[in-house]
Parts: sequence; C-alpha cells; structure tokens
Amino acid sequence: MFELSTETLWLLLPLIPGLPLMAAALVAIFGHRLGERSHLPVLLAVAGSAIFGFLALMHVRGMGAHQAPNAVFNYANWFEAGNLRVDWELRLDSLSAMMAAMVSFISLWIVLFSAGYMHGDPGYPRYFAAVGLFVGAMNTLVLANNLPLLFLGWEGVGVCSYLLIGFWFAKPEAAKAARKAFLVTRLGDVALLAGMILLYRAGDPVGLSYDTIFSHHYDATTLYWALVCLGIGAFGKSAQFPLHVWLPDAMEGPTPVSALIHAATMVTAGVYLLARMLPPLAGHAVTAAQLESIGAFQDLVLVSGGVTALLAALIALGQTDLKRILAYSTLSQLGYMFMALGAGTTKGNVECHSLASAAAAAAVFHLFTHAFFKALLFLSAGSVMHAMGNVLDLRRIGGLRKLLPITHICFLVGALALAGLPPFSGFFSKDGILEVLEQGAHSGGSRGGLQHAMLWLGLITAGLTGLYTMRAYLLTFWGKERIPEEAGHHAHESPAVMTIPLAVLAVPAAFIGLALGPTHLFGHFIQASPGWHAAETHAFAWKLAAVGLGAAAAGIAVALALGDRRPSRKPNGLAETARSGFFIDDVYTAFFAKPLEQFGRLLNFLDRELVDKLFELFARIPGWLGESLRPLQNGLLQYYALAMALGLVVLIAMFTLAR
Amino acid sequence: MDWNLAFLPFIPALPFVAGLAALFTRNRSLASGVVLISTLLSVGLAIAVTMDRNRLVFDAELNGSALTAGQPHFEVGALFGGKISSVRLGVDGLNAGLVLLTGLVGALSVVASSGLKLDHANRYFGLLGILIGLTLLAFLAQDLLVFYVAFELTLIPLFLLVGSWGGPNRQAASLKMVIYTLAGGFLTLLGILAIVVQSNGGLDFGWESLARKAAVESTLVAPGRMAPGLIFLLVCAGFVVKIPLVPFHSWQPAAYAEAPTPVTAFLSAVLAKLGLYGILRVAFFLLPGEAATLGVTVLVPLAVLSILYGAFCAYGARDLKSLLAYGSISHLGVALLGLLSFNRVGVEGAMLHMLAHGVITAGMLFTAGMLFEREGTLQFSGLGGMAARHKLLSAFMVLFALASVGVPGLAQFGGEFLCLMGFLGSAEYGQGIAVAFGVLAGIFLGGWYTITMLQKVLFGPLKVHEENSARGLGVADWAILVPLGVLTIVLGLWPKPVLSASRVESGYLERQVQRTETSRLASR
Repeated sequence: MFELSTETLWLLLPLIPGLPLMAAALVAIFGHRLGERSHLPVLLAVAGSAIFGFLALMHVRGMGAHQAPNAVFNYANWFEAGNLRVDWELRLDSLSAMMAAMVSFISLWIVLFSAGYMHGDPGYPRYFAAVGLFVGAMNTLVLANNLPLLFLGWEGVGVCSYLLIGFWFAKPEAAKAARKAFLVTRLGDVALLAGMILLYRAGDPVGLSYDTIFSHHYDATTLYWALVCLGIGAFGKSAQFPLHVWLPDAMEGPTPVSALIHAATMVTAGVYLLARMLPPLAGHAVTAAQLESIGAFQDLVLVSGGVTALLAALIALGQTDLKRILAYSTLSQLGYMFMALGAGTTKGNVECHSLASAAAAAAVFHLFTHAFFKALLFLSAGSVMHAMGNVLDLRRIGGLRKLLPITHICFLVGALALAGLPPFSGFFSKDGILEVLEQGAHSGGSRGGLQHAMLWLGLITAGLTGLYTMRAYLLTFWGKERIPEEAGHHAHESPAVMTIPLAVLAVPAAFIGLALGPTHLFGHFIQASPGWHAAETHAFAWKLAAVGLGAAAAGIAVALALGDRRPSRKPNGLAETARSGFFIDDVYTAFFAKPLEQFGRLLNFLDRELVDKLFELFARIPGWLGESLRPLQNGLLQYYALAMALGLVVLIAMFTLAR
Repeated sequence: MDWNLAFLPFIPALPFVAGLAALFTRNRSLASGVVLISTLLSVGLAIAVTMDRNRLVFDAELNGSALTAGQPHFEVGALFGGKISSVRLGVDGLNAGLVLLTGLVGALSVVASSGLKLDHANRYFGLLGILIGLTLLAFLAQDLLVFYVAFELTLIPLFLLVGSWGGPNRQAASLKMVIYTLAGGFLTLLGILAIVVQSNGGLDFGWESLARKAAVESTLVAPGRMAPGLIFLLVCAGFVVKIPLVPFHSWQPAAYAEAPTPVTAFLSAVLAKLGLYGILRVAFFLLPGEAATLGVTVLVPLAVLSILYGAFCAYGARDLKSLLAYGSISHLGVALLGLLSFNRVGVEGAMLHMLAHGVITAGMLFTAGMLFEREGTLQFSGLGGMAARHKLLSAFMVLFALASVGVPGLAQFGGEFLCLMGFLGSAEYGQGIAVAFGVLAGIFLGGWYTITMLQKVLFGPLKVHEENSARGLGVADWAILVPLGVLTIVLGLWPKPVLSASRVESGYLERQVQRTETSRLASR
C-alpha cells in the first residue's frame, strides 16, 4: 500500500496550490523578460501540482476505509481577533485529494494547449500569470479546511475568471461580460459571507473550520438559513438558475479559459461546496426538525438544478454558436449535479445520511467525468476556432472532419460522453444521478414526489442533451465543407502542442466512467471521506440505465434525422425565444440592473444639488449672526484689548472655581 | 522612562518644524526634500517606538495589568504650572498603526506632489509638512486638550492647501470644509470640556486617568449636570463630520475633488481616520455606557445609511475622485459598525479595516493622480481603454480596486470580515437582520461601482487624448506604488500584527461595556 509520512504530506500539500502561485508571481513580475516563454514556469509548476496531487490521492487511497478522521495540516494563523480564529489549514481526505488531483491534471493539459492557442498574443505573459493564479486559487479552494480559506480560493478563482473573461479588454463585449460575471457571482459570494456569519453566530466560534461546523448541533432554523446562504453562493459560482446568466457571456474569454474555468473547474466549485457540507451535516442531524431543514434545503437545490438542466438544454437547442452550445450544455450538466445533491430523504437519520452521501458521491462523480469530457469538447472547439479564424457559427462552418481529423475524433468522443452513450464516461455518471434520484423518490418520507418529478425531468433533459450535442457535432464535422473567409486559404489541423492535450484528455473522457463507475471504485473512495456514510455496494440498475440510454438515443436519432439542415437566418418566434435564453437577461436588466443604475445616478444628482444646498442654507446662519453682531466689531484696539482681558478673567475664574 | 520614549516628541515635531522651515526657503526641491526626509525620519522613529511598545504590551499582559499599564508616554513640562494640562504623548494599541500610516502616506504624498505644477511650491510643501506634523500630534496625544487642539489646527494647513492649490472651485470647497468641520469641532469641544469638568478630577485632560474614571460611571451623572447622553452626542459631532457620515458629509465630495490629488490622498487615507479614532478614543472609551446604548441607537443607523448612500452615490459619480470620495464614506461606515460591536472581534477588525482602507485608498488616489498627470482628466467621459496605454499603472489600479472590493488575500478583506462578524455575530436578532441586509447589500454595491469604474476607465476601446501620454512609470511612481502594493498584499495575507496590536485596548473596551451593561441591568 502506498503511504506517505506525515512530514512528507505536510510539505507536499501546500505545494499543490503553492507552486502555481509562485509561478504566477514569477510570470507577473518578469513576464516582459520571459515573453514567449511565459508558459514554461506555469507549465512546470502545474505539472508539479499534478504529480503532488496524484501522490496525495494515492496516499488517501492507500489508507482505504481507515482514513484518518481528520488529516488536517495547520500551518499558521491567518487572522485572529477575540474568539474568532482563522488558520492557514489544509485538509486531506478523499474529496479534497480527488479534486486537487483532477484540477491540476486537467489544468496541466489546458496550459499546454494554451501555449499553442495563445501563441503570438501580445498579452501572452498576462494570460499565463492569470492562469497560474487560477490553478493556485482553485487548489486552495478544494484543499482548505475552513470556510474563510475556502472563500479565499473562491474569490481568487472569481478574480481570475474576471481577468481572463476580460482578457481582450479592448473589446467592449469582453469588458462587459467580465463585469457581469464578477457581479453576478459576487451576489452569490455575499450570500456565502452571510452563511458564514450565521454559522459563526450560532456555532462554536473557533475559526469556521469544517470539523467544528460538522460537530456542532445547530438549531433547525439556523441550519436551514445557513445552508440556503451557502447554497446561493454555490448557485452563483456554478451558474445555477436564477444566477446562471453570466456563464454564456463568459465565452468572450479565450477558449482554453472557457475549458478550464467555465467548464471543468471553477464552475464546479458550488457542487464541491455543497458536497463538502451536506453529507456530514446530514450525518449529524438528529432531530426531525434538523432533518426537515436539510430536506427543505435539498428541495431548493433540486428545483434550481432541475430548472437549470432543462432550461439550459432548451436554450442550447436554439444556439447557433458552437461555443455557446457548449456553455449551455455546461449549465445543463451542472444542473444535473445539483439535482443529484438534492436527492435525499427525511425518513430517518441513517437513511438521510446514507442517501445524502450517495447523492453527493453521484454529484461529484459527474463533476469528475464532466471535467474531462467538457474540457475536451471546449479544447476541440478551440482547435476548430484556431483553424476557422475564430468563427464558430454553425451556419458558416461545416464538414470539417477531413480538414481536422484529430479534432474530429476527439470532439466525437467528448460529444458521445456528453450525450450519455455507453461505454463513454458521461453515461455512467449520469446514470448514477438518475439512480440516486430514484432512490430518493422511493425512499418514503415527504420528499419523494418532487424527486420523482425531477427524475422525469432528468430523463427529458437526457434526450435533449443527445439532440443538441449530436446536432452540434454533425453540423460542425459533417455535410458540405464550409470554411469562412476569416480562415484564409490555409486552414489546417492544429499543431501537436494542441492536439496532444486533446488526445490525452480523450482517454479519460472515453473510459474513466466505465473504469470507476460500475466497479464502485469512485463511490467507495469518495464515501470514505470522514463524516460520510460508507457506500453500500448494490447491483447495477439495468432498468433505469436502459431508460436513460433510450432517452439519449432518441435525442441522437432526431439529430441524425435532421442531418445537415442548418438553422435558418430568418427570425422565428420560438427559436428566437430559446436563443435569447428566454429573455431572463432582459428581465434582470430591466428590473434589477437598470433601476439600480438609475437610482445611483439620481442619488448622486440629489446629493450634489439638493442636500448640499440645504446645508449651505445652514451655513449661512453664522453669516446672519455676524451681521447682527457687527456693531461689536468697531475697529478700536482698546476695545478688543478690554474684551480679551475680560475673557481671560472669566476663563481663569472658571478653572479656579471648578477645582 | 525608556530611552526611546524621548523620541516621541520628535515624531510630530520633525515634519512640523521642517514644514515651518520650508515655508521660508526659496527652492522647491530643497523644501520638498526637507519635508520628505523629516517625515521619513519620523516614520523610522515611530517604528522604533512601536516595536518597543509591542514588548511592553506583552509584559503588561503577562502581569495581568489593566488598561495602559506600562504604556510608554512622554510628558513635556506642564502647561499652566501643571494645573491644567501637560503635553502627554504616547503610543498604544489604538494609535500605533495609525501613526505609522500617517507617516507613510504623508511621505508618499510629498513624493506624489513632486510631479505637480505648483506656484509657490515651497509654501505648498511647508504646509504639507505642517499638516503631517499636526496629524501625528493628534494621533499621539494622550491628553484631550492636546488632541483637540491638534485636531482643529490641522484645518489651517488643509484649508490653505485646498484653497490655494486646488481645482477650479477650490475656494468654495475649502471654505465649506472649514465651516463644517469647525462647527462640528466646536460641539466636540463643548463635549470634551463637559467630560473633564464633570469627572470631578479638576481640570485633568489626561486620557488615561479619564478612562479609568469612566469605569465609575456615576461621576458624570450627578444631578444638575449635563446629561451624559448629551455629552456623548456633542463629542461625536465633530468626529462624525470628519469621517464623514451621511448626512453630515456634503463638504467632502467637493473637497476631495478640488484638493490636489496628493492632499486628497492624505485627507482620505489619514484624516478621515482621525474621525473614527476620535469616536473610539474619546466617545467610546470615556463614555462606554452611553456608547453601548445611545451610541448604538444613533450611530448604527447612520453607519448603515452611509454604507448604502455612499455606494449609490459612488456609482452615480462622473469622475474618479468623487467616486472615491463617496466610496470612502461607504467603506468607513463598515469600520464604524465594527467599532460599535464593542467586542474584540469587531474593534480589532475595525483597526485593521482603517489601516487597510488607508493603504488602499491612498493607492487608488495616487494612481488616479498619475493618470491625471498623463491624461489631463479624471472625468469618466474622457477616459476609457487606459489599460492598453498604461499597462503597469492599470495593473496597480486593478490591484487596489480588487482590494477595496474586499477580495480575500488582499488588505481590506480581513477587516471587513471581522467587522461584520463582530457586529452581526453579537447583534440582537431583529437589529442584526436589518443591519445585515444593509451591510451585505453595501458590500455587493461596493463591487458594483468599483468594477464598473474599472470598466469605464481601463477597458473598452482606447479614447485618445493627449499625445505622448503613454509614458511609463517613473522612479517617484514606483516609490509610491510598490510600498502600497506590497502592503496591500501583506496586510491581506498576514494581518496578525495589526490585529494583535490593539488586543489589550479592545479587550478593555469589551469588558468596560459589558460591565456597564450588567450594572444597568442590575439597577433596573
């Protein structure tokens, strides 16, 4: 069995976020000297993170079910005041090790891809500095052992997302999209802050560490509202309805960034947070009221996830831009993960804990496979973009399978995984989600009905996913060859620095689901995290899997039947509604953004023109007083001297008498 | 007396005397050099004394002594034969950080002024030196009379600086500032006199002995005397104008916008803190009972109002300096809430918040000044796409902007977080919810106006203005930006020294307020 000594782990763990952060600092400071070599420090550092992450993962795996209840490494105090203490402390358990290894591994290949994709961009060093910072912050987020430190990573990845969406800042759309992404997620972040305040108010006020939170008995109301606040934070970061509007616009960033931040890693932070919190809290819930609180919160997650999954799939159908289709598919798949997190029961303590753990494991498994195949899809789209002169409009490109053979195969693998066909990885993780929903629906208790409905919704979405994915694939790679004029005359397959990452990511996208899903390797490993209910091995649910597969296959069949019929350029009511994202953006602009802006301008105007004038009126009073007292100021020096002397006498008298 | 306590009077005296001397020089670089070197020297002295203080506080904690046992302070002879007052200076947990901040930002303002086009530059630098010296004196004073006099005297150099070297509407702006501040200051004077006279200690203005007497609250409330509640409000008046809180703020946007940018930086980074500091040291420590009741009733709504009102007005601002002015109102409201928690979490958080805000807002204003030197305007309508032309300057501006939004790992977060935790963690349920909504909305709005400002100024297509404006950062610019940038990061990652500096004093305030609460409950 592979095992590392505590000292080794103590040294190795902080390097997982530390190396990329150091590389980012290096590139930020010396970028102008490094120039076109700026990717090297970041590449090496992320490779180091990936290796260390993998070693940590192997270590945890080696410990098996005998995982130390809390392998926490405390390095130093971050800040402390009164009874609130927050430390630099990292946590090593199945969940954090898996996330750190996955994030670093995928980042490594995306950084390599970027070296080719961003070649020749004047902002080359700036790009890699931001990516390095991102990987460091993301690893901090997943390895943190307390909420404020998680928040450090959480905001850190948000800042990197902001900087990278707005990477081409001279484009007004990019600047706008960056601002929107920052502000919408910021809304969620403020809620996360509120959640921390609630937990601190009610809890053991020692630093908001996970273990102190999990071992405290919160009263049902606090538990519910704290979870709701954390949940809103998660909705914002993971772009769940109603805070999903920023993600499609985020596609203004360079495509590798979309792959890394807006598909594989950062947007799954919300899923990670809830998977981190829910199983131990469910395990610690004793009273019926506490169980109800968790159940009520899970219902909220379920509805938000379900609505997002379906809505985004419908919107994806109406899109004509390959990257936006992928963006909406990310929303939809994240919706699946939240649906999984919502699966549970309020029937009993053990059942609640067991199902919540299985549900979180299913969500995290889908997070895991999705990271590979969605990163693959986005990078393939990037490769297409690279060849097509940055055009991804499906009305203008097509039939590229001969021109881009490697990209074609890789995209196909990703698409099949996304559509959920066996043996590709998406099939098994999606099936896992349907399975926990079915268990929740049949487990009794008050929450069965909603989960049953969500199960159906999940199946419908599976069909829609098959449809839009296959359609995007067919329109891009089959039919008559269409190459836009922006591509020039020498459109060609991407260089090896870009195709190698594609090929590498295609392997897990194809097989990792089969390797880890039906074998229960993933579930057993994750559910060995301290505070989780150990996984129970059960038979593969063939019936449900068949229904899910049928839905996906139906969608794919429709796509095949539609063939090469391109979306028309003529406006069409229904398609337009879907394309616009059901006008949710417009509603927010009209009822939220605009009124706020108007109010700000109005208040500023009133402040300058009205409040100020009012106070000037007050300021005149001394003037009027002065007018009335003017006779005293008669210019006679003796008079002044007399007044001064009198004043002095009064003062001295006052002080002497007061003693 | 410790040997380095003899340095204490030199901390304010050096810049003050250098400033006076600079008034009579003819040479611009001589004037600025003298003021700069003397300010740097006093920063060095302040660091030496502060280090020593840390040791003393540590000893005091070990010995379990009360409030300021072992606090270094220095007495210069006695004025009026010792009957009224003596000049007592000292460094304790409440002012240590602020003294360092004053010296640092003061020195950087001198550096930042080197690029300004100034008539009678020697007078400008002389007045700046005098302003720095008086501000240091106000922070160091351990005696209410000296504190008050220094607090008011800062107005004279400030008035002249804004009124003579400011923008087009400088005279109206400086006059308004003086009238406001004087009016508030007059009420504060009445309050201070009332505290001193009614505390039955003769005319002892010493802060420490007054704070000890404040433990026995009854001394102030004898029949026939001014009600302590009224005294509390009077004392607060001048400080509330200085911070400022809404609705006593209307002098501030004009003054910030009209003052020369280095002076605005000093005004916002340092002088605004003098208001919060005064509230804490005079009103809260000397009237803890009133602070916990009346103070909460009156000041909490004002703080929340300032947070929200400032944020909305900042969004509506049409130029960078007035955006920062309104933003400052909003941020300092959070610090005041932290102080109003009366527990260690909030009070220590507020001390950190004040320092962090000082560093960040100075950074923002200095970068704004550099932008103005290059582009000739700070109006949003005239700026846009600056990131393409001024890359490094933009990078620093993004850093300071993100810090002011409260991104963890940068300076503002720790203070803001602790202020929230301190206040909301202990607030009563109903009040807590109302305040929480206000403050959290304010924090969101802070991101909203700051990020929008970045978009307007730095991003989007480049608006061409002055030719040749694309010059890089000079030595003076680096000398300003690097220390502030480094501090922004260091205070974010390692705020511990700042937090622990005030633990004795904040613990004392916490116990004081609890004790008066208990005695009030018992007397019912």
